[in-house]
Amino acid sequence: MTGLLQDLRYAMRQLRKGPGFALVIVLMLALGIGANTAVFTVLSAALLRPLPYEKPEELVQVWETRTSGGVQQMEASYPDFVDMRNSQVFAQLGGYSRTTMTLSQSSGAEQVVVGLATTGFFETLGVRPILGRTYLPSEETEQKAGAILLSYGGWQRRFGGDPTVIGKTLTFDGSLATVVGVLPKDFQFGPTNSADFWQSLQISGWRLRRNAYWLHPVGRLKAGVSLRQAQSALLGVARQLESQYPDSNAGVAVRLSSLREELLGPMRLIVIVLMATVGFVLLITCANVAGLLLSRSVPRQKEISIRTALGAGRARIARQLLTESILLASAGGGAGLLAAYWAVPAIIAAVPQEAMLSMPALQGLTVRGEVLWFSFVVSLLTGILFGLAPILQTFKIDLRQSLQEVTRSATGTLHHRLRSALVISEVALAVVLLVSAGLMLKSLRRVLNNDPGFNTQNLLTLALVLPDKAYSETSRMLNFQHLLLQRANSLPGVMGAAAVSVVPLSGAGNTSRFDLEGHPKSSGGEEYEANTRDITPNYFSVMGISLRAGRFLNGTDTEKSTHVVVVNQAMADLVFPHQNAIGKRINFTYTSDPNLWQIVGVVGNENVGRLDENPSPVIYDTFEQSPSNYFSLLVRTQQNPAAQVNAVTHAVREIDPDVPVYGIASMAQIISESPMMMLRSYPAYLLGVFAGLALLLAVLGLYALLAYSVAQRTRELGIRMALGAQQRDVLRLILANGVKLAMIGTVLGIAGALAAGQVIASLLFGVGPADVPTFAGVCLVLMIAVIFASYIPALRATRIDPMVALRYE
Amino acid sequence: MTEAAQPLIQIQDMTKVFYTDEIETHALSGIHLSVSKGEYVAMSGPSGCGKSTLLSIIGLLDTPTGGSYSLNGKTVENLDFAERSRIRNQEIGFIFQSFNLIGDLTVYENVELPLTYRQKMPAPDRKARVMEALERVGMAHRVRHYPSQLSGGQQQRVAVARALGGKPSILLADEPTGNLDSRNGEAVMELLQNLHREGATICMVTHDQRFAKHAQREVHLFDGKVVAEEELKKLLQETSA
Repeated sequence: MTGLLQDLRYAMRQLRKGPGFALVIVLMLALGIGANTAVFTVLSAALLRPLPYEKPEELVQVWETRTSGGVQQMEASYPDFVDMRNSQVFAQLGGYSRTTMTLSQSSGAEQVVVGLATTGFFETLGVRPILGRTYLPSEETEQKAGAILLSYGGWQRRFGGDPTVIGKTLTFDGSLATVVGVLPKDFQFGPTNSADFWQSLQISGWRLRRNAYWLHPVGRLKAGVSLRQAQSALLGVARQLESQYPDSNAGVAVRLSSLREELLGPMRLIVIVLMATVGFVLLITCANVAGLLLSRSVPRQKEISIRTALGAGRARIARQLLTESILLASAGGGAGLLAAYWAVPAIIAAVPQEAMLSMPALQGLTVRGEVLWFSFVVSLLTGILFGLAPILQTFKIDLRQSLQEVTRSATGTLHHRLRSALVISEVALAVVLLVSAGLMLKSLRRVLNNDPGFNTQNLLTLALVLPDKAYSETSRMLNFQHLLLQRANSLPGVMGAAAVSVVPLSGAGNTSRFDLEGHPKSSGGEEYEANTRDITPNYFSVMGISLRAGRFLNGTDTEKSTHVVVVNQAMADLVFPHQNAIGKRINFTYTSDPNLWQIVGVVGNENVGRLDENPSPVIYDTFEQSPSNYFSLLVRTQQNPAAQVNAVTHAVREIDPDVPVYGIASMAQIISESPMMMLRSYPAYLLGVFAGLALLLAVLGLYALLAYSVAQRTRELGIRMALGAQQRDVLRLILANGVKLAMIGTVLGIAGALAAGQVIASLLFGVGPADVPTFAGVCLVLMIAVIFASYIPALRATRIDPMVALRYE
Repeated sequence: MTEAAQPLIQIQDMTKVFYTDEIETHALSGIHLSVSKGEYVAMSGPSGCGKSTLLSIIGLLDTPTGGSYSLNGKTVENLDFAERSRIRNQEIGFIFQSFNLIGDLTVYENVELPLTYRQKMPAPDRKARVMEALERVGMAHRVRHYPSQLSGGQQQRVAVARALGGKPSILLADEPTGNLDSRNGEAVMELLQNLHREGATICMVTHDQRFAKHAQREVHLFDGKVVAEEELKKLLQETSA
């Protein structure tokens, strides 16, 4: 213990002796450890903690699957859900969904996100309300006032935490609902975007259809039942349903996965990539610090020799040096923690609002206790890692020579090899990060440049819901829509306005299944699946979608005329390859009665799903023939769409002030704030920042090595110049040294980047993991940086005065 | 053999060859040397004759290429690094030409340093040893000073105190006056002589005949071999001719 204290005292004295040196190292470590701590803080909160439910390992998500068609994994139908609930594998099975509803209050109407849940959903999660109760079985099946559970946040915000809130009535979509309970403070459920309200699902109408897939079942497995056993048992149920209900359940199976995997699975690779990235930055930092410590170990060589001569064993010397490096790392770790305290809110601020709603654990996140342990362990390991190089060097000291009166400052081959190896590894790691960042950023650019099939510029979108009671008649709905479009079209600065049931790329939407006239599914014909969109006839012109064949929908397509649709090219290619789709009739199979629609036109591919996916089949019909009380308004503006928001919402209020407007966003915002873009841009930008940092650190490491090398070789360079070497010869010598190390590092880095490319391949879009231009670009940028870093010490070397150098010792 | 006559150092046919690139340098060739306890031996010879190499091997700072070496009756030429460190710490006290004090440690800490490498030596014992050694060399009043605040002679006296603090079997001094002026040089030689009178075994390398004469016995080296004084003179004459 005394020895350790002595080591510590001496280490602190060493730091005080070279405060500038210590400061540089601490700052570098603060950067490396701080970045790791900050990223780990965010990732552990979002992804690594156990789900906040009772025995979360028992919870599973259930999907129905289909082997044919475009959508192979889907939500469950309610009747199938009930059959699954009756199986023997679940201790509890509940279901949830999510919707938006109009909440009518004395202060006006408000569109709110509402979680919908079956009886037993909260019991399945093991969540007990802090006030009131959960849903009764009768509330799922009987048509009476809905039962509302308030989230804790909603209870506080909207009711001031009123303990008598139970029994109060609220009006959602014109219907009364009663507050029956308040959920605990720590309850969160990402898929419903932190809804303030949870309403009991009332099963009626279309929700009772066995071929309407809309419910997300979440189950708690019985004790002792494994995921595989449950899967096998549910497949048995699916087979039974298939034979019982061939019309709806033919080819429908079931897939189970852990709830954790469902909620966090897509993020796993990104987590790995980001943690590897900051880990790489830390390794580069370690290599840099090790290089600096190595350069300092040269003047300390004699001190180490004296200690050794006086009887200090290797372990003792190693302990002394490790104490110093761990002390430095601890200081760096402390500074890194401070940096993380600052960085975490900055990282959180960069997360889009929509994504934040689905990750409530991130709200108000700061560096917490468990992360202190992470930071401590990282600091300790960092200290050991960068402390190893100087320790290795001390093992090779020639005591006899080192203790001579005149000890040359020449450092021997081991020192140069170690420092060169460190610089090479820094360059290699930087290349891996730069290439990975380059690939991700190029993917992002490809996604953003990917033609969605419509003009995304200057397009304002807003959603409206016509209250059921006031707009129970179709004619009133259509009148409102016509009037609104008329007013919107006449606004100054508006080039055109149209309506659609679901805004493309918004992440919402639904699909419908159909077969072909003359080839019914019941007679062995193929069943297809496509996105369906209700539109106004001018939708295509407002969106800039071109006609490929036939005609657009128009004013002649009314409720009383033949039911017609327009399909996109992807749909025509899928269903009618090498045929003319015009005039063909399709039959929607969600009802057992014939439901035939004639194709009158084929339009260009509009990507309604995600920008990073190929266009999927779309069927368009008109609101006239398929009326709906909810729709979105699309307004093409001459300039910034935000400037038209007030005018458009004013137009809505003028027609009917009770119609709520929500989801106001430009198409550019919809794209940039979509979960897809977050999953692509967030890691890409972070990776880009860290790769830039890695490049900077690697170049600094190379600069430090060459500067030190020039100082060490002053005498040698003086001799060379005395013997006739020109300045350009010396310049070339030092530059070549730097470029040689960088080239070795680059070659190793390229090999590493090829391997890393395979890991991130699934995150790429439109670019291969071995994209030659990206690799070439990185090499070019790196070489420019390396030549710049080498040039400064090389220039200094050319200014050596041979006379002074020859006296240099 | 009585204890007084028993050799503390026994070297038989020792060789040391340095290999640098393709060049072999024979620094020591068949050295035989015996030093008894309480003896004061000076090793002298011209520059490059191998005397410092021999002292390094005796001090276990280096290992011989061939031959045998026993210290205090124990064969030490093939020990591992850790064991050599332990013996250096407990049996040998070094006095270097350039003092080799650690600039960041105080006088007290420098003298204490070898004792801190000993297992389980209580702090009060260490303090007593340190103060005793500093008092013996007349530097007890400078315990809080740093080496840079001392004259060369004072630094060397601190180095002697450091060598004495561990109560070693033998003191090895490599040109201890080399960096000192004649007055300070004489003072250090007098200090060594006093230590010898008190029973210390001393092995000193010097090329200065004035100081070599302080020793009981002088060992002459030439081209890595021990030679008689007369032979050395003859060889030196031949070399100069």
